[in-house]
Amino acid sequence: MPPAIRTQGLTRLYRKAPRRGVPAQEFRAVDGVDLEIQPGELFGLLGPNGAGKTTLIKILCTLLFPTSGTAEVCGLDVVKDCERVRERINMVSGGEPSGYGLLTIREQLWVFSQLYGLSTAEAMSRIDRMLDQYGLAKDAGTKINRLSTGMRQKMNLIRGFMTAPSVLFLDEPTLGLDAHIARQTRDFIRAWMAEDRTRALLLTTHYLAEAHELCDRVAIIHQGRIRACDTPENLVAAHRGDAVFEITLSGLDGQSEALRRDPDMKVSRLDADPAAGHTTVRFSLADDAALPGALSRMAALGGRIVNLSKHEVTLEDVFVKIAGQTIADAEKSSE
Amino acid sequence: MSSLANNLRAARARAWIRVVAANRELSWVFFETFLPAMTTAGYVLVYRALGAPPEFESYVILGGVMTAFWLNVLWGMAAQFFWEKDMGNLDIYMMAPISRMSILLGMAVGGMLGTAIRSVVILVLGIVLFRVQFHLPGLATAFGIFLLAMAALYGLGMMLASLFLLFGRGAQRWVEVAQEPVYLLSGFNFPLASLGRTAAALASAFPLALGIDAIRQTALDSRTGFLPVPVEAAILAGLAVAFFFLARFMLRVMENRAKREGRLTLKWQ
Amino acid sequence: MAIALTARKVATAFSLSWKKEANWTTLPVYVLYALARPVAGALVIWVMAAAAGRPAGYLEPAWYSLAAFQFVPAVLGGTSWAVLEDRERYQMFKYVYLAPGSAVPYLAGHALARAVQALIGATALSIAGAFLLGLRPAAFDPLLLAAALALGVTTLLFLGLALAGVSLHVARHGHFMTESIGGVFFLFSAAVFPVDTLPSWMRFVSYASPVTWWLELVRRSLGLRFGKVLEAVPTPAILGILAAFCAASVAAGLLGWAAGERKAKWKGLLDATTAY
Repeated sequence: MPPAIRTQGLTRLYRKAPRRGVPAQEFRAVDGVDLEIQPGELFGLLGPNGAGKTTLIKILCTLLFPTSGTAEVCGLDVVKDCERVRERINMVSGGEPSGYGLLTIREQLWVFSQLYGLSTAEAMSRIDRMLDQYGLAKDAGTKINRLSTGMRQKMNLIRGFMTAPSVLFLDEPTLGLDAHIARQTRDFIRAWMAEDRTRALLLTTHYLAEAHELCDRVAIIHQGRIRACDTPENLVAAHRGDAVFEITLSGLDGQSEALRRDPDMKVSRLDADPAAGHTTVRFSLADDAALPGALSRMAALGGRIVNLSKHEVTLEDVFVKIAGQTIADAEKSSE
Repeated sequence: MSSLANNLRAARARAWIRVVAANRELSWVFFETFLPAMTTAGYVLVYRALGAPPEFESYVILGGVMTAFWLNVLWGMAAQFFWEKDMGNLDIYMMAPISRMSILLGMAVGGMLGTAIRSVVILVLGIVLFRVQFHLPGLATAFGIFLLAMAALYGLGMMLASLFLLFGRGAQRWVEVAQEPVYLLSGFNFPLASLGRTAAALASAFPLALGIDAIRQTALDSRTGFLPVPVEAAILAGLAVAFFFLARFMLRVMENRAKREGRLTLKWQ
Repeated sequence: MAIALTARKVATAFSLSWKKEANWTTLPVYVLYALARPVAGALVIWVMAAAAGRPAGYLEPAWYSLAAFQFVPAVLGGTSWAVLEDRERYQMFKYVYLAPGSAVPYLAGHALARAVQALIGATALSIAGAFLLGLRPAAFDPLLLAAALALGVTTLLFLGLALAGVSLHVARHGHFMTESIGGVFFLFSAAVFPVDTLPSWMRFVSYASPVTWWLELVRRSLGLRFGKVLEAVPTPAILGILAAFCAASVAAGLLGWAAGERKAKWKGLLDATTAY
């Protein structure tokens, strides 16, 4: 069986035409990406907004041509064999509205099932089963323009799952969902994957904990390039030697940002609470021995320790180590 | 065969959306059927003011009937791709394993409900208020011509739809621009021959021009036809075939270009 | 403060609407676009008249009436189309609505931008009529024309506002609504034929339409007469009738919009999507 997804040197450039004295600009949304995902895998693509995740998915879904490189889905080239690729895929993009406001959920799903050649009986049976499974059965007759964000997203996910694609792409499936619905969604994804071990699912997210919980393997993508690719456990294990601390300080008086410039500390989170006069910093060090030095530099800035604890390495820490900045900072710098 | 069945299924589903949603928001019956009949009546009265012979009023009524189909092609089918793009549905259609033509066919067929009602209202208005008289022996031929004209017209609509795969507002503006000039070039309100031979010959590239002219000759027994009916029918058949293949070609070319430029699913262009 | 906010909203909406209308292309192409529809519409009337033997006394008043009629669908539709487009396509109407102050200036700004577009078409038709086609007006009273335009555009703007209130309640096919309402005015206001041509019962509807009186005033400012029925009404009386219609349409527009938006809020339609 061929890999569910294989890309080699996949690159996508966007060109901005010159205008009023500003020369033409080129932006590499995806830059030389090599990936291989096997049937049965639930694969996570992690990165901040603007990292290239959606562009990569659009290429794999036959909605966009790559500038160079190759991409295959189920052994079929997404450029040359796009019609056969479409028979094997589906995609759901989180947070994006779709559908016709005047139709009900059930009607809407039936319409989209007809694009994939399902008989009405088969489509309705799948739709009803999934609506029930996903806790949406009682709302099946509600019109789309009356749905909450969570309900709309559930409907969209069922749209992707119900056609039983060989490869399913989920672009930020839990974006904007509350914790309860996000958990339901993760359970639904797991159940769908467990139904048939030949299916593959590529999920993009910038919620690292979600990726850690769900995915068999993850790739960290930053500025269009894959920076690391392995199981979440292996990625974390590779950095297990790192010492991760969380410290709450008082008395920094607006100096908290200086901590980001510390030569030994890789800051993965920095929350300043001016009202309480506290700053909480999560950071990693090469080893425990580097801690006294870091603490003395904090003290030099006027910081007094309120609380200090040591933590297990998470994917978030790994991301900071690899990308050199937190997801939030990467999103800010890409704006 | 299964591919044809799947495409027909997709077309049926897209048509079904139109029919069901239209039934849930019935204000269109008023705005899209009764009110447009007023414009047609206005043009009939222009001929009354001009003291033209009564058959000219019949020409306007037939033109009004055909206007509905032109508007369905423009707004119900071609420009609908633009709405689908902005509503987030175009991605779904584009990555589904179906022909783009099946979606467009579904839009056209679904829109036929409103179009047919509008046409009937204008016809009834013409018969009851303006005493339009049909030449009964010519009605069957007229219906055949109508079908040929529709085949060519919807092919043309699919060509226009392809523009929306690449462009956004720009294509919409040109579609808007096309509306009235086509009224002019097709002779919706006057005999095609009134344009003069050269302009009428150029206008014949647009299917409604010859379609309306031939229908007037057959259904109204008009003597002001531009070309003999068999010739017009043959040209219409040729246009229908040519536009079908051109539409397929343009849909493919525009889709590929949009995918290269990253504009296939780019909203709010 | 309130006046400054209103003025800013009108200006912003005007600029936004202008960009939506024009920034997809270059200026020359835009001008071509703005002229294509009115020119084609006028040529339809020209060819119809030619087909009927061009009876004397028809084309001059019809041509300039049609030039002025460009404002009707444009301004009427400017407000209601802004509601539909912002609500359904850009999904921004809710943000416009919840901004401080009323949404009316925002809608008015859209209508005014469309009025400018209509002005381009009307001016081009008038110049072409006078200098290319030899359809010379018999006189020219710029003050009367300016008064007619001011009253007419204001009337249409507020009628459009009432229509915008309705468009909150119709589906996306409301796009056709503005064209269709334009068609109603085309018939009942006897846009391109004399009121005399209408059957007698229709004439009463015609008298109740501000557009009838507005077009007559525009024709009078150009020294043109169209039929005999309106001839008996003196020009100051037409001005008075139009001013009364204008005042009534301001009230109807504000009340119609307020009723429409209140009901829409009640039914949750301010951010609905209804396209199909």
